[in-house]
Amino acid sequence: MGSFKDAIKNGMTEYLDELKQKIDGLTDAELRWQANLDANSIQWLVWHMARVEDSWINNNIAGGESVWDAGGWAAKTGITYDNSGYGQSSDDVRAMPDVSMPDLVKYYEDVRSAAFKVIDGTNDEDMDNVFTRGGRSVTWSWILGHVLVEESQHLGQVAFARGLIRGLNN
Amino acid sequence: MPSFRDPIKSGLNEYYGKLKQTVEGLTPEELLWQPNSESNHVLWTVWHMARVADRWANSTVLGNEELWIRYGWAEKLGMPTDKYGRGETPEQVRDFPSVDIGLVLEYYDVAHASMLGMIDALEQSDLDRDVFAAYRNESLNIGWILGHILAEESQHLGQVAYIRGMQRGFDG
Repeated sequence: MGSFKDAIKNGMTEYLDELKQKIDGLTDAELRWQANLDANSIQWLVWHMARVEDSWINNNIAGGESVWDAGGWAAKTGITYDNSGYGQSSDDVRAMPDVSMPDLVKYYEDVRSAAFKVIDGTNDEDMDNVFTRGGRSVTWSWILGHVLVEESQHLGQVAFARGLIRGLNN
Repeated sequence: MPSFRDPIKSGLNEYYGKLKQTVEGLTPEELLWQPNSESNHVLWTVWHMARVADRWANSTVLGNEELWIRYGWAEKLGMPTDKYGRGETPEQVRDFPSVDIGLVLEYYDVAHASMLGMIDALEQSDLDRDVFAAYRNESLNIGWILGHILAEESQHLGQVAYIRGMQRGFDG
């Protein structure tokens, strides 16, 4: 039985599946390539996407520990940033260590399994629930819409960066 | 009465609001700038996003004529009625007419409003229904289409923001 909840999960499945296709076969150098000094690398974008989903859904909606912390992913990946990438400077992005892409994808898959469990556990009424941090309040409804938009935007940037490196449809 | 319909509408409004901010103040030259000869430019991408919204909402899901045709937007913008953007070549993107972005956004405004209306018009049971997308020659589930619209449109927004960033720099 289809539902609007499933439509949201369909969108999430679509952007993660497409992300995996867009990074397929890229070399380490390509994953770290920046279109200019201020541009994000693909590697940074993939890490940021996974952290964003983890933070919004597993931390903020579920009120639990992030998969990043629970799974010890900082130690596993060697990424020592103390946030999910929001507001980082160009220097921070450039200073990202070389990361194993299969590890990052594994982390993202763990985030996704946890996030779908959280979404499965919510119902229509929960969409009006409010999450507040730093004086800013947003509804769960806003959070789910935002996750779809923000993550897909970053996927579009990964695809664009790949296109700049490899050319059309390569 | 809250429902999971709300996050979908919230997401639709978020990417559309952000798109308007992201194109704000760009010159006609910046709108047509391509980082390389195979890249899409901002104007093409915004126009394509509007066409995507119109086509999914009005033609594919609701089974009506596109606003592009019904309200003469193709004619106002001087483009063929079947022009849509999917699968266009780099040459077609490069030769895209330098139309007024204000006019493209006027079209997008009505297409976006029709999208929100389409979401409101759907019943829960509709989400199990398949519709035939003639231009793709395939049947697609409406529940899949709703997720896809958010993923596709937002990806293009991300590209518009990226192209702006390449021209104007960080936060420029």
